[in-house]
Amino acid sequence: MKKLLLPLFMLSLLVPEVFAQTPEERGLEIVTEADRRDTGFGDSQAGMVMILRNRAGDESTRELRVSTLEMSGDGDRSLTIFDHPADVSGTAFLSYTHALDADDQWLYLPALKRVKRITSKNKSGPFMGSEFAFEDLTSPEIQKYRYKYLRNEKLDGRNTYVIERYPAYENSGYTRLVTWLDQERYQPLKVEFYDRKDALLKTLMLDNYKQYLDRYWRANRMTMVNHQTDKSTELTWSDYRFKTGLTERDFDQSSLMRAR
Amino acid sequence: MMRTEARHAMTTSRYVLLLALLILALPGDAAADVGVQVGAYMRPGNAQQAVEKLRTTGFTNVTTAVKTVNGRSLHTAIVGPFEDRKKAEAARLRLRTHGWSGFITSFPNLPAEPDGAMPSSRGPIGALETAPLPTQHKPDDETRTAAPVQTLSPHAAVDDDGDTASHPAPAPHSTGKLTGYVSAELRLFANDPSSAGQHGDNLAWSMRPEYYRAWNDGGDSVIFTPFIRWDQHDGERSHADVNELLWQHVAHDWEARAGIGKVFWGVTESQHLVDIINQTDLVENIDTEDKLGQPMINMALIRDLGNLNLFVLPGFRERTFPGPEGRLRTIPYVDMTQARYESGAEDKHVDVAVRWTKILGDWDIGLAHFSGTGRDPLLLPGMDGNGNPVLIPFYEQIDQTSLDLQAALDAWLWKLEVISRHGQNGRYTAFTGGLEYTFVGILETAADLGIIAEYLYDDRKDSAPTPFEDDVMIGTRLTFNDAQSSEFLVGAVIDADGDGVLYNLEASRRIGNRWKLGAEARIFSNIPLNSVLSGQRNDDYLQIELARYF
Repeated sequence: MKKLLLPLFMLSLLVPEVFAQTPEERGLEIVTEADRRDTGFGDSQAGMVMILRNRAGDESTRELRVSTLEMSGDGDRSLTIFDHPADVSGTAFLSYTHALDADDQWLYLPALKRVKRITSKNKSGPFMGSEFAFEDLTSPEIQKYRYKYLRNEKLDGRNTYVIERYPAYENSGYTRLVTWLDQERYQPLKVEFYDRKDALLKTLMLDNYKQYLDRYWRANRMTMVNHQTDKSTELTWSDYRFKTGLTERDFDQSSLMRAR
Repeated sequence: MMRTEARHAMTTSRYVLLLALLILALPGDAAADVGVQVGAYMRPGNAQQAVEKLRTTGFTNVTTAVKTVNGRSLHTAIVGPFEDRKKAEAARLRLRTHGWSGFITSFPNLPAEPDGAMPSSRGPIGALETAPLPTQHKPDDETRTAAPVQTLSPHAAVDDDGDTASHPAPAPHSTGKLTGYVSAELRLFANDPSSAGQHGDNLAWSMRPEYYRAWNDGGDSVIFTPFIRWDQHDGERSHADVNELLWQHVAHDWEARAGIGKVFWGVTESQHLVDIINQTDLVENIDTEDKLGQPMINMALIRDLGNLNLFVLPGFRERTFPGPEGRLRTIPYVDMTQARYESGAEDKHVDVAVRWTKILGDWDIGLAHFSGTGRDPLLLPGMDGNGNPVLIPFYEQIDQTSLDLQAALDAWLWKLEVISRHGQNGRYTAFTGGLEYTFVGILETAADLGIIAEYLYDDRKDSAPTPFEDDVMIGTRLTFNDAQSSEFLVGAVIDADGDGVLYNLEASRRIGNRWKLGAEARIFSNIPLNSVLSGQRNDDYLQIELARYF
């Protein structure tokens, strides 16, 4: 029965709308479906290599590991451990995201053995000096944005929905984000970020998608280009693991302090 | 006088030279060649296949190399080496026109390979060319190939290129991990020392390796962190310590630790009243943030009602003080050899502590009690063996209850630390309270500007053995958020009674991937003779520190 229902449901998405639907409703509908498809992963762990490049082509690298815990009824929790550069090795970052409330964030400084709380006003600030802002890397809860469906478009041979998002949370660095969402996988292939003056600030390209547990798609490469500074950052994910048995206990202050 | 200074300067420059040589002799980021990495694969065979395809496309200087990313080996195909980035960039663009996307990276140190003449059997991966290759591979190909029938692990992921990555259980660094730093430090003093026997500019170096090993799926671990400091003039500052030698066991709702450890409690920036488990390694820095390892048995109970930490602390660590030849000290100096204790057990007294912590939404709360030997001694006037005046540390038995509170409300961080301590001279109360506000992305840049203001109070007022009895600290922290993690902190602690100002400046910046340059300056301004800080009135200094991390 289930096997029959799912293709039927997906088919219904392709059928022209019978009832008039505003672009806002359509946008929310698509994003809700994307969220539904990504629900239930439980927890995940992955490694990340970040390559930062400036205008002159000088590079510096960051290596980190990220664990994420899916929370029902709240935003995801994540623990990020820094491995490289060596002077920040052992630093760890704990984040409890919330749909609309300010996120709770703590940083662990291994040299002092000290946990510091950070205000989450720095959403627009760069993550580790990269072109990714903190808000680009937190879990995309539905309520964090308002949506508007713009059009269908082919991108690199794939059919996409083009959807505009408007941050509904405070202190965002953006007025809007335009997302090219793959129609088959419901995953973003490209995102354009517009700054507070509505000028194009950055473009994110997501590729090397891999599917895990026969269900969850993850881009294993993300390239962010800042058009205003000509700097870019390339994120390469590796070793994605899902349902590894992590619990809330792995995302408390005590686990932050012994993160390695 | 002139002559001694000149000779002194010569000795200094000799040390600078020696240190420079020492640092250069460390294994460094050699001025390495660069290459263009066009692919990274789980299976060596796929890397080799990419290499062969590239060769047939005309890129002859291509080889495979093994990279370790997060403890896992990846097999990469890399074009190069090129002597500079420009040439590599040109190659990257040429590769792109052939459908290979790549990025520029440092070329690994492989035995040199004749240009395209031989297959890469001489590379570090000898047995690559064997496995028959499962699928045709194109780096940017995103179409999912028919999944191999391979379900070894439920967590197996099917890569776009058909590689099946089976993942071991999560056990980071189960083989042990060595990190740490070596650092050279130069302190330049603005004035002649206050006391005969003290010196001018000073060189020092230090080293802190850290070895960590986990097993039992991360449930058990050991950490070993020795520390060594060598100082040019101060025999007391040249010292070694075991900062950590700690075994840790983690279970679902409890944790146990035993050995020598380091623990930090508290929230404020200007001073750390609540932090009491570890003794201050004062010879390191007068900011009291450097600590000595503390023998401990620690049990943590993790509950919904909060975390409860119980500590038994056998063995007391004496505070370190600069010797007669060191700067940044009291006058006369503190004679550690004559340390006295209230307890008959002296430094064998077993101390105990308990701490409860809880996160309540935007609030972090900590309540603690400590019973045992006070970490900060009273300094009593005395004589050394030759009849010269010295100060003698006296460690009393204390009971200290503390509260630390922190709230993140919008862009504001509110902080409070309060202690109530009972000792030989009755009970006293002290607190530090304040706030921190951050302006994000100032002047349209990526930089953040934080403002810190704290008030420091001690109800013993002027009889307190601390200079911070009625003081205001203001500071600003500029974080550039750049690739080099540049930071700048400048602040002042101002005594409300007009008993002087202590200015403080700290700056740091990463150089390359493994070096860090730090600067620190302190100015003691208008310190009266009767102040606790009077011995340091002439000790304004600028410190430059260069550290190499490994």
